[in-house]
Amino acid sequence: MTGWRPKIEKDSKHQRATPTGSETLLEVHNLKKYFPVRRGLLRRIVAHIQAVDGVDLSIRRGGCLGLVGESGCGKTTTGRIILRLIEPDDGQIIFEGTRIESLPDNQMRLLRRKMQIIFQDPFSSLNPRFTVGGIISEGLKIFEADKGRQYINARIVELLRTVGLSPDAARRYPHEFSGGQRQRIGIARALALNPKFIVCDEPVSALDASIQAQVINLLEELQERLGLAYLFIAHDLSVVRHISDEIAVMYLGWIVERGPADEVCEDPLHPYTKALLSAVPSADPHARRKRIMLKGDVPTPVNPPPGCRFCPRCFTSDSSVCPVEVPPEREVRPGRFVRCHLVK
Amino acid sequence: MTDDSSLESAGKPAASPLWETWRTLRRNYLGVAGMVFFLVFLVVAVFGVAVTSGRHPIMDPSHIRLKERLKGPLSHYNPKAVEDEHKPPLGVYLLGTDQLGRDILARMLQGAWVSLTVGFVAVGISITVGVFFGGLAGYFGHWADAVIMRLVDIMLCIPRFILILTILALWGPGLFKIMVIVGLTSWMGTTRFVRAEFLSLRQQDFVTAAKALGSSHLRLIFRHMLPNALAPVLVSATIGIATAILLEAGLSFLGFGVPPPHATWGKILASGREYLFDAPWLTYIPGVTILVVVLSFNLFGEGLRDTLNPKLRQRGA
Amino acid sequence: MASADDGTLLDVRDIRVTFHVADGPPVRAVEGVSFTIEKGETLAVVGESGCGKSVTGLTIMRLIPSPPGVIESGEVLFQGRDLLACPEREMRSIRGGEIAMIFQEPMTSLNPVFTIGFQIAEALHAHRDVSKAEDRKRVVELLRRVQIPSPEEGFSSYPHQLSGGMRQRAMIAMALACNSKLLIADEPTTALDVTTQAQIFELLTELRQEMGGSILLITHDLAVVAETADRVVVMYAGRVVEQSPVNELFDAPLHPYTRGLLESIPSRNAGKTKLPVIPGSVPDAAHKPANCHFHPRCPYARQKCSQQDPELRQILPGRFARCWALGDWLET
Repeated sequence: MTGWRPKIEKDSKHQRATPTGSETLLEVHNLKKYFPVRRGLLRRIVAHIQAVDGVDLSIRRGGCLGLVGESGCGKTTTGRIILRLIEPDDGQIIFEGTRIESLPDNQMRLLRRKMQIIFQDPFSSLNPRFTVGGIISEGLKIFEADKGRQYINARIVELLRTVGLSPDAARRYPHEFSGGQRQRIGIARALALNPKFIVCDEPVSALDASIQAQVINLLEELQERLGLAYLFIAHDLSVVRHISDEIAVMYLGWIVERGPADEVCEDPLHPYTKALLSAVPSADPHARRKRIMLKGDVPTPVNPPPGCRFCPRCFTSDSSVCPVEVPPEREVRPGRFVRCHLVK
Repeated sequence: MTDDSSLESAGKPAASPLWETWRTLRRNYLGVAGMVFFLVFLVVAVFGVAVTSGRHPIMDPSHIRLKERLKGPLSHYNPKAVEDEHKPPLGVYLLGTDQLGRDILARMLQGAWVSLTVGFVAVGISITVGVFFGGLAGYFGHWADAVIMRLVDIMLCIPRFILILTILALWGPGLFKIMVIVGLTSWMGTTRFVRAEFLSLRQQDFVTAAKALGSSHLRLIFRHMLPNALAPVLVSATIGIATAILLEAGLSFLGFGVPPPHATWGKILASGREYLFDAPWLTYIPGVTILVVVLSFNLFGEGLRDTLNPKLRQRGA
Repeated sequence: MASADDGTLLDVRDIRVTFHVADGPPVRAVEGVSFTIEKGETLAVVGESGCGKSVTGLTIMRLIPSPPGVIESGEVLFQGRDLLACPEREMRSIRGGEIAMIFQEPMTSLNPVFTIGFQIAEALHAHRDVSKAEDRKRVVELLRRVQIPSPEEGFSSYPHQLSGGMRQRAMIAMALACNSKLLIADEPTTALDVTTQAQIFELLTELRQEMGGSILLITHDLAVVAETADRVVVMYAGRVVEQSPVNELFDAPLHPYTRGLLESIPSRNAGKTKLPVIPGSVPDAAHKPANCHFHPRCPYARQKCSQQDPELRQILPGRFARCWALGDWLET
């Protein structure tokens, strides 16, 4: 593993980006993805879903960035673009100092062993026709087939133990396992190639309450032991706050606020973050309170509102700027970035 | 099932998907009946080739015994009229003889093999073409999808039977030609199935996971997606075999089938037409056989479809 | 438990529901569940998947698919009348009449080929006589009450044209149309976003206060329970393991399962410590551990727990739990 170097570094077309300090593992600049909406007989493009529109992120080595937002805000798309499972339309993705957004397929494939993904649905994420051993060893068979069957078998056992499953699970099929156990199998698959970075796409939201905590603990333990960095995508702020050291809040394809996890949760700056935090039920009956109620639902990202995208639902907006001018992302306090005209 | 129970169950064999399929199918009595007939038909067809082919077959389907014409089923042979080497096994024409004194049982057995090969080869061709096009359209989408699906639409507009008749009229009849033509004109359904399956599989997380692990296009298609798309293909293949058998019988009946002296069910049926009142068994035997075989294939296919339908399958809790 | 005095709206007594599946042991989904709902109260039934909470809700409405489901015993007394014993015709008028139900995915409970307005008007007609002319006015009024923006437009839109939150509002409007005394809400916000969830619960609470109806809230989310319920029934593997008023439950959970669930909630664990967990996983409904179903996962389990079945008994005034350890503690 240590001897492996991406060949692409020599490639002049994909030069090393500006040095950003060895601490940073992944950086994303101005990421954009517009999905065309086609209509009619000729399948003409009538509009674009602006799923991700100018996202900036950075993740430290061994760190965890929580990406929070409601359905349709583009958080899942962002995660998949970073792994190049969806091709970006614009922007830069810099992984370990290498620009990867336009790497050719064969070079990208080599890089895949360093970045993996864990899914939300523990049912559809495992191939029903493979045994658990087959699922976990798929990556090994692609990259380390030369090390032989025995090595792969030993690695399967090791991985199953790592995620807290018994080694004889390898011979069984996914449908024989419960949701929590399936999620563990998915984690083992992601770990097989010793990645540096894992996109966790709502990994606990489909699990039972008593199982959620087990999986969160496992993820934290693995992060510490293996030095993993996570992009932790979720809609549940309390889970994200627990596991992340930084939080980014997404709304309609924008990151409206990002900063250190505790600061964002204790002292939210963007009105959307405030509303989101206030809407999260608190598991404390004494804390029932008057909430900030947002008007309406999340609008669709097809033709989003001009100006500030949150403006139509905002409770503090200023009618002279917000509906007309697009707010830029500003660093209002050290480490705190906000996309709002009105935050001082 | 607790985390610990996986340790306890070390001795328990893994339940494979195949075994699960059988367990579900078992409850579908019509499906099982169809499968039994399907298997019997396979055995009979193979047995039929063994006893009716070669230089000196045990039962010669083309030997003419003019003195033994139109004998009913189960009638004894006349030792004076037939030499010893051409007497029917057991000394009885189990299914009677036709207007030329040929043994119907021998002809039916020979015809079973024809039906079987036509069914399997034609469906083999149509499945291969269908899976290839369907996979291409579903996996790559965009232009590949548009072109292939329009091709499917065009093919579906052509009346198949007329096309086959035209080609056979131009190039003359032949078993091989029938198989190829039937195969090449019946892949559209499979293409649609496979395309639809691929389109939905492409969205599945496990396919994304395989892509994230660095699988190549070929590995994704053949290792991860195709095995999960085969269930409806299997079903349509089973029903497709029945359709091909019917088609061949129809062509033979019209005289466009396999050239004589080779026997097929359709030809036996066609020759029986003239003796419908004198020798009704000539019509009933091939007619009922075709009915039973086609019906059992369809029942088996439908049983398979119900079994392989993931909505009906229980997921492990 | 509680007698059918004046305050009690619904009295569920010892219901047992079993599902018979081909080639497998019978699944005892609900094993003797009892609780009461007072007038004007919100009772939450909380539990993980497969604990029988949804089956309980469907049993009250007599909507258990049969086969494979069989309601083996028990009574559901609604205003003193046993719903499990009354004829199907009468039951039909109670469903969507005095008792309304809303589900997790409102799309499946709305008919996709009719407009929202038409469907709510249907609900109005089914249960009382309203003149056609009055229809539109009343339905639009209802849509306004559930805060559907531009109710005139909402009246003539089809279910798929509305968002999940709006569809759930339309379902609530349907329940309102029949002036239901009891609303059974089965995971009403699980499919919705948090900000929409907050809106729906605010709406439900408001309407309840206004109309004086009762709500049976079925959910897996303890945080939602904390925010909305008056009393809580905690279910595990087909049984009630604890029943308490909401404040007491969250301040001092009695049953080890409730305690474990509460401790594992991230927001109740300040700092980056390891979350306390309940080991193991939820038992498969067909293979539950004998006697106390929770004992293999319980930190307080003793020999007795696997040998004898604990009863649901009063531990503190108004608080019930099904646990040997608590019973022993009570006796000493």
